[in-house]
Amino acid sequence: MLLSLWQNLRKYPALLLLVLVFGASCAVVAVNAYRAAGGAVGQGRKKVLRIAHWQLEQGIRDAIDRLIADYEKLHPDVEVRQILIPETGYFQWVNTQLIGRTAPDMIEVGSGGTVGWALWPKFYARYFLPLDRYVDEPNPYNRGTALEKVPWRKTYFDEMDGGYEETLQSYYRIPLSAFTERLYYNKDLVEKVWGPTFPKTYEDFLELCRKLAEYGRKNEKKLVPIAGSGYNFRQFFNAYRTAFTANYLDPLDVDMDGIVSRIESAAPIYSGRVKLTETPIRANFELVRELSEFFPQGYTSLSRDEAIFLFLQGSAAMITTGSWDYESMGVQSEFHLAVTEIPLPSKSNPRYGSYVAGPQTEAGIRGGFPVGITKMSRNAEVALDFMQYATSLKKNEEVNRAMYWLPVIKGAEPRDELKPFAPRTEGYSASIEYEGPGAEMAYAQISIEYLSGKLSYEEFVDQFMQAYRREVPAGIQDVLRNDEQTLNQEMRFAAIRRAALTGAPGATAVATGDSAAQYKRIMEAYVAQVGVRDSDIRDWTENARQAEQPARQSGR
Amino acid sequence: MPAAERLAAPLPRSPGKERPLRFAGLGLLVIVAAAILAPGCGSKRTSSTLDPLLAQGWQAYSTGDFDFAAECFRGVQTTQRATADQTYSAILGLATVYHLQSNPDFGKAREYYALLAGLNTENARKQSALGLARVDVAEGKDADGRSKLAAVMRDYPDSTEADEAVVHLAESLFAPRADEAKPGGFGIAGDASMERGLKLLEDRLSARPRNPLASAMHMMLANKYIELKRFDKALENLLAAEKDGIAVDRLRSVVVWRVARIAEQQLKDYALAERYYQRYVDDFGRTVLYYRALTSLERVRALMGKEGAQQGKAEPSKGT
Repeated sequence: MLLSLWQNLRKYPALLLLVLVFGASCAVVAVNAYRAAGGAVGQGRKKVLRIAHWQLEQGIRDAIDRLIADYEKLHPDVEVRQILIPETGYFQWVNTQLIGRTAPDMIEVGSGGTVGWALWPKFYARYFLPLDRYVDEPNPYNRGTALEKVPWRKTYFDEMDGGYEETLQSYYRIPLSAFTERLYYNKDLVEKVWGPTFPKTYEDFLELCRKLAEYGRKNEKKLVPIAGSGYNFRQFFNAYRTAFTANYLDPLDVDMDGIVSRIESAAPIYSGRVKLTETPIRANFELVRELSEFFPQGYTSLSRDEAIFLFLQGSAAMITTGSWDYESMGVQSEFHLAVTEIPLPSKSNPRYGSYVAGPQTEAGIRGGFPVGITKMSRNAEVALDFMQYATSLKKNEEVNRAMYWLPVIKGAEPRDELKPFAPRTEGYSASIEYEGPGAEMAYAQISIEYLSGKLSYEEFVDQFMQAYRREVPAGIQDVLRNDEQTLNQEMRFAAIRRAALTGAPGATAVATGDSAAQYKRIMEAYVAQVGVRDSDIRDWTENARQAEQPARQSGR
Repeated sequence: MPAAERLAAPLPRSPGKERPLRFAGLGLLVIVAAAILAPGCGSKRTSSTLDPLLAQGWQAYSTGDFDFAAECFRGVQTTQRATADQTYSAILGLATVYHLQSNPDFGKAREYYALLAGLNTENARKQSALGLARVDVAEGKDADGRSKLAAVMRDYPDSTEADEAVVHLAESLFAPRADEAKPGGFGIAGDASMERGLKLLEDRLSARPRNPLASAMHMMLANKYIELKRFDKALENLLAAEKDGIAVDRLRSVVVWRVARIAEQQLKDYALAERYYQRYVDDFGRTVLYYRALTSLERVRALMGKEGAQQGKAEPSKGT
């Protein structure tokens, strides 16, 4: 019978091929689904959770393994596996896994640069579990501690701000660690050249740089004082920009919300109400140019990794980077590593002292190493339980101590070596953005020419302001168009909440949490955004009018 | 032969080949049926299967997948089996998608909002009226949009839709308009328009002080009074917004900061400034303004001390 069936089917090769391909596809899908459910062949009936992240360093991997082992001891029916993906291809990998519905249960989120920045909110909404209904309940793993009755959200040092997605008005991320940036230095070398106490002021810091350069020359060593690069240079520049421009808050913050918006900063520079030749601004640029003489030649074209390599080799004495690098730097360097703040000019500095407000605040930092739970997880509740375990007071302290990172839970203590990285709450935020909307490229090119000594400060200002006046009007229109998109997005969410409030079937299922409360939140955020937009436009038009007046007068 | 009989009639047979051929035909039929049924295209939708489709539609809308959302909503709207509520959700979904998608289709949005009005339930009529008004405003038909927003306020005076209509009407009265002839490319709203917007919000707050958008309305008023440099009125509304309860923590921090700053710098009410800087320091220690609030608190206390000392000196002279 089979033979006769085969003889007959042979006459229909296309049909036969179709049946074979269909059968093979079914088998592949079934095996993948089985594996995705955690039930690989021969592997028992444990619930398997998978967590994907890009922290490939051995220390991080081991610390998470220990956390997993402790959790599995407590829950023998659960197995947690780490999936390690290099940062370079991470976003593309996550993207494929999410679209293919084969994503792991837990994913470190937030990579991918500008593209990722735009796409993650869409991913959260589509593929990740909103956490709103859990964050106001206590973390069960805090039982017996001071945080026992505290809502999970409130156990975080930042009240879980790092987990909140503003554009979606919901919690999607569970942060595990926090990070700050500092100046790292080769302790052995600095002590040899300078002495045991690292300079506290910019004046002494500059003197140290001179001595280091001289030491290199004398000993015929290839040594630069600071391992600057296009990336690391920004940390210096931002620290000094904050110090020199913090006092511009009151004159520029016209809507008095405590933040100088991009337009509030750009409009008065465009009109000339704020001039780049004003002494605090000029001092900011001159100081950075002075300091950049101690960076490697052509530092702006060096990458972050090249700068770190220079430092670890002993060819540079100092580098700015984040607390995330502390452990790996410690392991790789053959010298004693120390960490300090970027020194600011003292008040008595005759050239800069009177313009310095203070250091850059870190009070606003948010929890990092954020993990999201995917909606497609068959064990989403178990994944949530694992993340609550990882963010309990005891375990968050333990895992971060093992990773050499800062914990995010209130009361969790970092390692002693990491105490210099504790977020600085005393300090200011920068109140001027020099680039200006639309003039970013011009700024990048012309400022580098100034910093590398090709242009005088007057030439830099003159060339940059020509570009600024040409580019900023269109750039401001772009900023305002983006604002409109944000407002439109808020109205989209308000519409779902309104539909849910009127009992529209389907809308109620999508709108998690209390729709009345969410509707109020969205409308508050909306009017606040409208207020900023209207105030920005008024500020811009007033400055644009002011800018036109001298032009008209000179035209007459 | 009638269709039913034709289907029931046996297939013509070819001698000697009938069984295997019939088997192959059956196999082909199974595969085709499976292919059709697998994506769910061939299934008949009952009212109970429509709710998940609506949920899919709203989900797709929320993630910006507008074409798929419209497809889901249309699938429900065109079926006879949908309940009245399901039809309402589907038409509202379609109107909302066309209105608020990245490239809006205002014509279709208007068409579906108008269809909603025919559903004869109060909810549908309210959403229709608000939607039609907002489409007009979005299209730049300000006069029509404003009069329709006013109609929502008049026809459904105690509703949240009317509260939202007030917010959008005020927004439209305050909004700068693109105008290439003006400096910066914008024309700022005139004084009369501003005053109308302010009065509109204030009237609504007197009529429905506990409405769900009251905090938002007070913040809107404060924004405008700051823009107009009428700081006493701005302060009044900031305090009212805080009293009403601001749901978004970040915005509450902005309101507390603004109260302190206006009290200190504009109205020289140092006691109020001290109270609000202190509140900022206590409640918002994890924001970038924390240290500024702390140093401002010290400054204000010093100013209060100086004022107190001056009054102390002045008082005996009064008596003499």
